[in-house]
Formats: sequence, C-alpha cells, structure tokens
Amino acid sequence: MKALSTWQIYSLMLLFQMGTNVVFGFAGTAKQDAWIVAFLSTLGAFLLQWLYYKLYATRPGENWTSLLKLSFGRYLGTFLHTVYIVVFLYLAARNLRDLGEVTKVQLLFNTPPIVDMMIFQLLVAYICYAGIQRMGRLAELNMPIIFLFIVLQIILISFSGIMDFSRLMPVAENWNLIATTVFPFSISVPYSETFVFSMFGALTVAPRAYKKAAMLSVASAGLIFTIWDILSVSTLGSTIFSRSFFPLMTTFQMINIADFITNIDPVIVTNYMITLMIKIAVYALATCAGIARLCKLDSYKSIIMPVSLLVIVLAYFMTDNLSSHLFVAINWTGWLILLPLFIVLPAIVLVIMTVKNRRTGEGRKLHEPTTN
Amino acid sequence: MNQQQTDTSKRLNLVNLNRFREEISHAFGRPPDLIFRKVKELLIVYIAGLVDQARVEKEIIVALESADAGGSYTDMDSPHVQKTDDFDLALQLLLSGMVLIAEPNQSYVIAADAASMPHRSITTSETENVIHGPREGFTELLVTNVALLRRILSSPKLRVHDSCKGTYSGTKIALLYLEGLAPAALISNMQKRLESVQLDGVIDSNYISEQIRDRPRSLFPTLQSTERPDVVADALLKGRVVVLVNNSPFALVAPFLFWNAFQSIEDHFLLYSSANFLRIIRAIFIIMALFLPSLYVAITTFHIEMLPMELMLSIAASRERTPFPAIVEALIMESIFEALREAVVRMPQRLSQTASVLGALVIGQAIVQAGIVSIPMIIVVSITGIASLMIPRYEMTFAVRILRMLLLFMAATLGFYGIAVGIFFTQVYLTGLRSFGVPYLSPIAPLVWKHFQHFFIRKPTAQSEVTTDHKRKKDWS
Repeated sequence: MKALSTWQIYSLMLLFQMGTNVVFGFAGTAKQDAWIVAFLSTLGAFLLQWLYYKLYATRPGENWTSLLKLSFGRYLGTFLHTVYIVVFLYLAARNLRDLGEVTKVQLLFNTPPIVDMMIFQLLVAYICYAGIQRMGRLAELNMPIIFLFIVLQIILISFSGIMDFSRLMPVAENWNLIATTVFPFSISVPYSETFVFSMFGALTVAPRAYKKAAMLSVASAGLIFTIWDILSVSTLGSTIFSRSFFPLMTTFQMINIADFITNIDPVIVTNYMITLMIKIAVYALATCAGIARLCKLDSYKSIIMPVSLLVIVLAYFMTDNLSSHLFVAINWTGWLILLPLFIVLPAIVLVIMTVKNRRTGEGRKLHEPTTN
Repeated sequence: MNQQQTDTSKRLNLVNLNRFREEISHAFGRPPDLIFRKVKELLIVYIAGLVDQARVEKEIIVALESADAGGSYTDMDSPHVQKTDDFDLALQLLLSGMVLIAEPNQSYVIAADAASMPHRSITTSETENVIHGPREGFTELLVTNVALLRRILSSPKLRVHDSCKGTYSGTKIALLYLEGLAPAALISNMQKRLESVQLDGVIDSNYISEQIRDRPRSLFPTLQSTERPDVVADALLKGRVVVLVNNSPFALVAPFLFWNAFQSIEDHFLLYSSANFLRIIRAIFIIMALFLPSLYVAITTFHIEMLPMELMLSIAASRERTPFPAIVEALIMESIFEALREAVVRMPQRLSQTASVLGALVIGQAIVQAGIVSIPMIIVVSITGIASLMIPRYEMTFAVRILRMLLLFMAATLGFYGIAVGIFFTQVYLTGLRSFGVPYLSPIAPLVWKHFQHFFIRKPTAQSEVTTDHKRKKDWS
C-alpha cells in the first residue's frame, strides 16, 4: 500500500534535509566559499539520490533491513540491522540535543533543556503513533509556513541594508578546503541522511515518484542552502560566519527594519522546530520500525514509548556542552556513521542486488514501474 | 411511510365503527383534541390543531355530504389521499395531520390530507448574517425547508430521501443531494450512518449530528450545521450531501472540512476583489483570535527583548501597577469575556443595556483603575474578542476559544516554544481527522491541487468550482 503522495514525500524530504541547517547554516567551515560548497554538495547529492533510487528500484517491495538480510545472509544481515537501529536512535537523539541546545541559548534561558527535550520528544512520540501517512500530511501542512518564513527572512534581511557582497571575496580562495568540506561532511549531512527513508521504502511511493521527489527536494534544499550562505556571509563576513555556533541565527538577528522589526529569533526557532520535528520523527519512526522488524512485532506502536525514553536519555547524556556536541558532529559522525553506513554500504548492497537480480532475472519483473 | 410494518402489525377492523372509534380513542388515551365526527354512515377522525378546520369542513365534510358515499374519495388518485389497512400506520397518519375517513364494512380507511401544522413563518437567519445576498433562513417545518431548496435548485436531479427517527418523536428527516454531483460513496456512507441512528426523541438536528459525525467528542466540528438555504444549495452544488431534520431550522452538511469554517457564503455575493480583501482580513484576525493572548503572555513573560525599545517601555510601565503575572491577568480577562458572551446570549432582551454598561464601565474602566489588569491586556482581549466573532462558522468558534486557552497555558510555561509545540500537537491531531471519509485538512494536507486553487482566493464566478462538468466532483479528497 502506498501511503504517501509524491508531494508528501517531497515535503518530508525537504523539511528533513533542512533540519538543523536552519540555524547552523551550511558548511560554515568553508568560510566565504560556503555557498560554493553548498552548490557542489547539491551536485554530489544528486548522485547520491540516484544511488538510493537505484537501490530502491532493485527491489521496490523491500525495505533497507530486508535488503541487508538478502545481501549478507541471516547473521551478518541481522547484525547490520541492529547497527542501523542504534544509528537511527543515535541520530534522533543528536537532533533532539541540537534542539535542546538551541532552545536554551536562543529562547528559554532559564528552563532546563531536559524539559524542552522531553516535551518535544512527547510530540515526536505522538507523531510516531500517528504513523507515516499523517507525518506526510503534517509535512505538507507546514510547507506553506516554512515557505512564508523563508521568504520573510530573505526579504527582511535584504531590506535591512547590511549586506555587503564584497565580503564574499575572494571567491574560491582555497579549493582544497572546499573539497574537504564538500566531502564527506557536507554531503553526509544532511543529504546522505535521507537514506533513512529507505526504511519505509515499500510504504512510501513508487520508485519513479521517489526519484522525482528526492531529486526535486535535493534541488530545493541546495538552492535554499546556497542562498542562505550567500546572505549569511555577506551579512556577517567570513570570520564571524565560520566561528559562530549558529551562523544563520546570528545573521537573521541582524535584521533591523526602521528600529521596529528587530528581533525575529522566535520565527527562526519556530522554523527550526518544524524541520526538526520532521527529522526526529522520521528517525524515531525508523528506529521503531527497525526494532519491530527485528523482533517480528505485529505493530511498532508498542515500542514508541521505550524508544522515546531512550532518545531522551541518550540526548541528555550525549555530551557536556555545545562545543563538544558540534565537534563530534563535524569530526566524527560524518566519517564514522554517515559515510560508511549511509553511502558506502548502500553502494555495496546495490552492486550485490544488481548481480543477484541479473542472475535470477527477478529485477526486470519487479522493476515495472507502479504508476503513482 | 412505514409500509413494511404492515405484515407484522395489527389490521384494522371496520365491521363495527363504534369499536373502531373506541380502539383509536383508547390508543391515544382519550385526549380532548381527538375529534370524531359522523357524516352519514361514515366516521371522520382528526386531531384538532394539526388540520385546517376550514378545509376539513369545505373539502371533506361538504363533499362527503353531497356525494353518495366515501367512494368519491376512494377513487381519487392523489398523493393527498391514501388508503391503509394498518392500525399503527393509521395512527401515524393521524399524527401527521391527515383526516381519517372510515366506511363501515371496508377493509381500509381513507386518509385525506388537510394538514396545517403550527409553524413559524420564514424569517431572516439569526446566526449567519450577511449584508448582501438572500436573507431567508430555514424554519422548523421540513416541508417548507425542502421547498425553499427546491426553489433555489429547480432541478429534478435534487434527490430527497425520507426517513423517520426517534421512537417517541417519530421525527421526519430528509437526506438531500444532487444526483450526479455528489459522490456515490458519500451518499451511501451517509445513508448507512443515518440508518444506525437510535434515539428516543429528536428535538434538534444536533441529536442526529452527534450520532452520525466522525469523532463526535472532538473539539473540531466535522459536520456543518447551517440555517441558510443558500449555504445548503451551494454545498449541494459542490457535491456535498445535506440532512434536514423536521423541527430544526439547522441543516446538516457533510463533509465539512477545516478550511470551510473560515469561508463565508457572502464571499460569493460580494464583488470579487472585495470578497478576497475580506478573506485576507478574516484570515489575519482569526489567526490573531487564536494566538494574540498567548503571544502577549509569551512576550511579556519570556521574550521581552523582542519588542522595540519604546513599546517595551510603555508596556512595562503599564504593567508596573498590576500585581499579577501576565497569565493570571489573561485568564481573568478571558474568563470575564467568555462569561459576558454567554450571559448576553441567555439574557432577556431588556437587560442588554445593563450588560453593556457593566462590560464597558466596570470591567473595562474600573478594573484598570483598580490596578487588577493592565491596559495592554484589555486591548489584547478586546481585539481577540472581536476577532473571534469574525469566524463565519459558529461551531468553529468553540474550537478556537478552547484552543486559545490551552495555548495560553503553554505560553505561560514555555513561551514561544510552548506555543509552537501546542500548535504542532494540534496539527498532528488534525491530520488524523476525517469528515465522511475526506481528510479534514484537505485540500492542503493532502494537497489536492484543483480544490487548492479555489481555497485561498475566491476566483471570479466564471472560473468557479461550480460547473456542469460532473466528472470534476467525483473525488473529494
């Protein structure tokens, strides 16, 4: 049963990819050339999405965990299945912690972040109970809001008269830096993260529609990131941009229209909450679905609460402070988790499945596009 | 009427008319308004007040006296005259304003229609006012209401299905739709739900509404009730189905979607551009009706730095004198406003002067001077009050008012974060609602492009949704 429409999966993927970048900006380490990184990463992301699409198209009826079992046999497959569950759980917790940190720094200075995180995880649990179809509706319901906010942000910052495009100079100063930022970090976060949608493959849309939605969402996200980076660097200058924890947040805090519209952080944080709501919910649902399949449960709903509790605990004890949290994100998660598990392994599985399909001739039959 | 009962229930016995008279009299408990008259050898029975006395005299009694026997009536081929041999049906017919004519040694009685039910004449609708456009509202009489609709939609495609609900009230209800426009699935869904209704009495259409709508306990209405024939006709043209209930001037329209609550029928009666202007104003103020008090509380409690310096100072200065936190102020004012609203509805007309004096002077002026509530809060609550009166559908105002209160608490504990989370919870809840199979948030979630186009902006009537192209109405979601 296909529970989602193309537009819904597009909305889900776009909001998912925007995720934390709404406040963290994109590729801050590349200084004034961040926008080039954003642009190049988008091109790379197209390749990546093509890989995911091919993988999905080899066996449209299967999801990622069952593909693992098909490719690597029962024991190794089950082991990898477990690894993915842990990784999804970890990533859900990471994003929740991001939210806790941003809320503490930008919005609720005196409330302990654990309270914010618990309330948000409760919301996520509710979304998981609602299921993937309602999650899709939630995403498309929030699309107009996000669209409105982004347009508002761009217009307001442009009219504040503080942008100076000369701050983008020198363009492409250090190709080495650009290359190392594009790969692996910028491609892995957020683009490779969309691999989590392969956990619901059979539920979402037909492969063709998936390709369309994924490619369009990558294009939209890439466009938004590039514009944001240009705005941000030309407002803040490359030094503050690369040094700030929340470059985009800092950028939009500079908005000043006639001394009246001066402080629109709540708008940005609301924006951020929408994208993170989708992101954490997708990860949490993927975790629940993974556990349910591993333990052969009838319904994933019974494990939502335990998983949510784990996410909160993990998010709370993950790091001591924001700096180390971001350090792990930039230096470790990309190399250790996203690159091997979300890029390399899918590529290996694609090769294995293609060979298997060739041998059995099964692929052609399954490849028939189910129209959507 | 209930023709299928004939097999199981008691047959009439007309061998002895006196016995027949006794049986009927007994069934009703010998009431004073049950009238028996003898014309020649015939027995005439009717209930005073439900029939037009003059018509009974002129059309029935005089006719019968001049004719040879009841035969002249028996031969008449008219919907106003029917024969029955079923005792219960005969009682039912009496109650619906028919005159029974019993002839000795026949197996049936003749029921002739001379009904003149007591009723209110057609007046303007009280709950949904418009400046332009038709003014009539429905009345309590089902026949009149159906006639009003037939006058607007003079088409044989307008289908009316009758049924009776309520063990004791025997209330007539009618299901209406336009053949070819309303999806078949919707009609059968509605019919199925109507059949399952079990009630002792149906006093108002809400009795039916609560039994047939999706999620009857939800805060959000999933069935529209309206007093205006033009609204109903418009809904019928858009392929919806309508249930009319006798004794209630409120028609039920299904499916009812979230966004319908914010569109007024008057949008179609005004100039295209002014209608869209009004829609924008309405959208802004309805959003304010929902958010303004909680935004105010959140800003003054958590995010005071959001305001420009001068505004911040003037708000801080006026809050200086009040001893309560903003949330308490907000709750005091909100509850007083809700109380005023409720009191004005219940109060006799002559006392309305008192209410406005109390409201304006005591609650507006004195409460500020006494230092209980600050002036900005009064302004916020007043704007909210006006804004919540702008919601075109009365049922939805409750959802907005209750949601506003909940958001107020969220804002007082977690500021903007709380408001956002509260709204997200509401969103997730709304994504799961359906009205007669149609997702409640359609056409935005799920996106249905052809309906979406007509949803923010009212297009000129030439491009409007109402067309004779039947295929376009097939699917709703």
